[in-house]
Amino acid sequence: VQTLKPLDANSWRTLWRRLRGAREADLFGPRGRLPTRGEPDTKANVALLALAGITAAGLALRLAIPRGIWLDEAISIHQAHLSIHDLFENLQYGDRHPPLHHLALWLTVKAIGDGELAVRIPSIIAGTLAIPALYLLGRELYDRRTGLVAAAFGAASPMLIWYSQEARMYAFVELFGLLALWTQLRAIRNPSMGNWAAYILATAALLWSHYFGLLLIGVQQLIWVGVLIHRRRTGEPMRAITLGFLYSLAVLAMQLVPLLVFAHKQFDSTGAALGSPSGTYDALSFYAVISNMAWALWGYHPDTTTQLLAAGWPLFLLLSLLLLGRGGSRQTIILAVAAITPIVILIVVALYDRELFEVRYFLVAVPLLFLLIARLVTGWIRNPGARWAVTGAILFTLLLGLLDQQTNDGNPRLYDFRGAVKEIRADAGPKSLVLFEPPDMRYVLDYYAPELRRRPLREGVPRRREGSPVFVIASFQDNKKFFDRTNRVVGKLDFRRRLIDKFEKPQTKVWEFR
Amino acid sequence: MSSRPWDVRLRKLMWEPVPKTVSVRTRVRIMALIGLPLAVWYFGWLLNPDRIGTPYLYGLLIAAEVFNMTQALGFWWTCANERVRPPKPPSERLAVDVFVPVYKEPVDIVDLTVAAAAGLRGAEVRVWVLDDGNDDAMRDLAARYGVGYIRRDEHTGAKAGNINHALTLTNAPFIAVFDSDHVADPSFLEATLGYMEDPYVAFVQTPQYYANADQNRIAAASWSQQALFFGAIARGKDGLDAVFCCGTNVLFRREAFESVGGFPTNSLTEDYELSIWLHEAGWKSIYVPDVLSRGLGPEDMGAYVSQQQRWARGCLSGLPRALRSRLPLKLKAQYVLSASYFLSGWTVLIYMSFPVIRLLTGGQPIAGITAPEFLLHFAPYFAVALTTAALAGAGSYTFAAFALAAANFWIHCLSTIYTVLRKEGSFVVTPKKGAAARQPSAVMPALVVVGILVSVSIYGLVKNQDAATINNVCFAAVHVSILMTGCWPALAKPRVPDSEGTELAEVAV
Repeated sequence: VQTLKPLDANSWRTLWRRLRGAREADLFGPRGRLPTRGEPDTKANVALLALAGITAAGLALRLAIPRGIWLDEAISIHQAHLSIHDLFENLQYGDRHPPLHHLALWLTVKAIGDGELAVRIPSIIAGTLAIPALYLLGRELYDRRTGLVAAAFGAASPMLIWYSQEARMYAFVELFGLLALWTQLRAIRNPSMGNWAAYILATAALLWSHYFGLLLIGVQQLIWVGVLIHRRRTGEPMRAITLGFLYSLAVLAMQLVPLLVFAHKQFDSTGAALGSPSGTYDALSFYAVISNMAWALWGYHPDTTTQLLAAGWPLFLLLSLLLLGRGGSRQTIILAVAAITPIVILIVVALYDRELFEVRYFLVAVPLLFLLIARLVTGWIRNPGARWAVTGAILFTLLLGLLDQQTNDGNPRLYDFRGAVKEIRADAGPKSLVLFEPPDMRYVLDYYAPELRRRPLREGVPRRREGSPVFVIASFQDNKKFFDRTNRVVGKLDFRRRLIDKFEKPQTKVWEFR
Repeated sequence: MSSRPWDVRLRKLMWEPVPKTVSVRTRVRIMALIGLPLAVWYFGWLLNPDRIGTPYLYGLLIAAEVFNMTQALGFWWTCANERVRPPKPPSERLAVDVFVPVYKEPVDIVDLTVAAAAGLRGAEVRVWVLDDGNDDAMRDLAARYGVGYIRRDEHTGAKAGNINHALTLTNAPFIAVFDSDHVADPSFLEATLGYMEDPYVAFVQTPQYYANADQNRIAAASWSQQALFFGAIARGKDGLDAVFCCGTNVLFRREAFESVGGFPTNSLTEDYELSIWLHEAGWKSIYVPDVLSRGLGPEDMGAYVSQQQRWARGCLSGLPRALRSRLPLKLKAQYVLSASYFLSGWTVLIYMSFPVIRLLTGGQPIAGITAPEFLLHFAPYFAVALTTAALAGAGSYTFAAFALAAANFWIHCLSTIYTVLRKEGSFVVTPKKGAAARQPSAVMPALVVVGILVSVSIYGLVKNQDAATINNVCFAAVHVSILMTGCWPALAKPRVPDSEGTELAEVAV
């Protein structure tokens, strides 16, 4: 018997990779990014230049804001005008969010005023920084190429752009969620003091931005447990990771104590009434899930467009078949778990409270979904030309979605209060009275027309001497309570006064009576 | 030594047949526990008469869904009974005749097969080249290695006739059979012969491994299909004592062979029918899951189509025999499940026809429901069925394998028709070397269907752009993607095999 000597000790691994498709380097081993199939990664300086270009383009898209301030933003701006003591009082007894974004907005307003662009600056900055953060996460998990493709998708994502343009906390959740995951992976690879500190800071920022940040933080704790189990099995050093994990857990618990007290006061005070009015939701349906997923990828669109997008669900059958034989990479499993778990938890929660299943509440998952898609493109498509073509095609659909989202008046999330108030101001005189519905609309009027006399619709129909002309501005008419009250008051006014004008703006109705 | 400068069959294995973590048995049992209620949930909803849309389409849908569910349940049942046998060396030195049946295969392919067979350890080995191609080069090859050479005057009964003829000229109590391209591991007999100490064991089957899986797309996808069968399915069949012989890499007991009169010569899948005979006669079969031989999978679409046609014709013609067999119910069910797999092409045809009919005529199998309602019932069942296949295959079953099978749906349809019409089939040896040119004609039926799906989709979109049309166009796009993936190896320019950097296995030469 003659034993033939091996020609190349590692070749079978290469062949195995070819057979199984893209096999990524072991996440928990030393940094060993792809080249799968021997293809070199994008060079560092080229990647840096490309990232700069993508980030600049993302910033430009985020700065092009066609819409005015909507109700929730107006509430935040109102809070930003309070003293710091009153801000916390207001948050404790009239809100349901942790205070990080409110503090950032408070500082912004103090520093550069409360113009439409100014109040959105914190979100624009966070949303823009999320682009390089997405690149870093992609590079850490896979390679520079995947990071760049993901960053490009993130830069053009209609949903991420929408919330980067809103003076609310969602862009913070997106940014800090990405940073929390990225710093965690760095701490796994190299549990240095600096990496642990960065992880703890990013997680804290996520936690203090939105309570739903806890969904991702929970997944991260599971990842730590998985890493520890894996290391125990493989006999790798555990001490540094275990100590770091316990320390980070202790810091997390220390934050949770005051935060839970804070949250308890908030939920106790606001009771059943939410901080902002919402529509009347049907029970959670598959359509709701599919349409929210379509929104997550291609942005907000009118119902007719959303129905067309949702009709494409058979393509998910194809995707699930494409995944056959592709499993096995720890990176992708971690990424998929981090992206899908918050969505699944919210679906389960929404079975009890439908209002909680909304894209903005799982916005942290959206960039992760784009990173998964980027991985599909760079990992599965071998031909560079085809890879460019598919990346370009996906970007094209995102930009198309963005265009429709930003310009279509049928966008269900577009509330044109600015346009409505502008027309009211044009017709209003010193004796004018504005009745508004819902009650929180007063913050919008505070912002756009502080000089106008106003009162909520729920205080009833004004007597003739109380003012003329009387304007009624009503929104959130898919909420039955608001719709009924508006109908009743407008009906009475119609009976007692003369209707001289009536117009509609997206999600807003205005009546003018004399 | 092989005349080739290198040979893919000498490389180290690229497949771990048995998962190292959770066993397939446990995986599938857990998934079946989840999947069974979901199957009841889906079919309970689907079989409600309120769902009937266009009656004949509904009937077709139910037929396809019931068939697929039966196959899925059969798969779960099989895999949930997985048995992993260790190699079992013999306690005494026994004589084994090793048959290498050949029929006009390239000598350089057979060279290594004979060399490896001659080096088998653990028994008194007598290798025989059974040459049905009257090839003098084969005779020279046998002489070079000092092994036996048998040539027939009358070439009847194809491979089965060739082996039956050799049985009359040899006399060892055990017979190992290797196809002309299968390079045996030196330990083949050390791992299998021990099981023959049970006097009721008729044969010990081992996996049919394709060493050229990374050489081209066809071999890769075809291996992926094989890996699922010779992995979870074969081990499950072993757990149910229902392993059937696959014709190569198998060790027979001569007495069992002779008790049923040797291989049946009137079948295209002689091994399948032989197994039924042996099980009817009360013999037992064993499956050793270790890869103990490395062969070559089909390297071009023509070879794959030819192999699949032979298997489909053989198994479908054996289906009535399996149904009539005097076997215990679980054994009979296993034979029927395996043979009826070759009817699954019909379900592919049915599913592909739905969007075409909907876009052309408006007819659809289910009516009065919304897409969310359908998804609510179908998606969980589908997800669990797919996940179970993925988990049982431990990642070896790929989309390319699925697409290759789907793109060759027509083979199942044509084979069924030929079988029903009792049209004669002929045994065609699977070519061992790939064609050097594209082979669009081998996938023409699938390409025609792609053309129909694309044309009808364009027609539908021009006529109407509502959500229902988009939905059906998306279904058509799914089918087109699958078919084109399956057809692509025949349409792409064949790749030159990569011969660099190969770690070799220990082979007796």
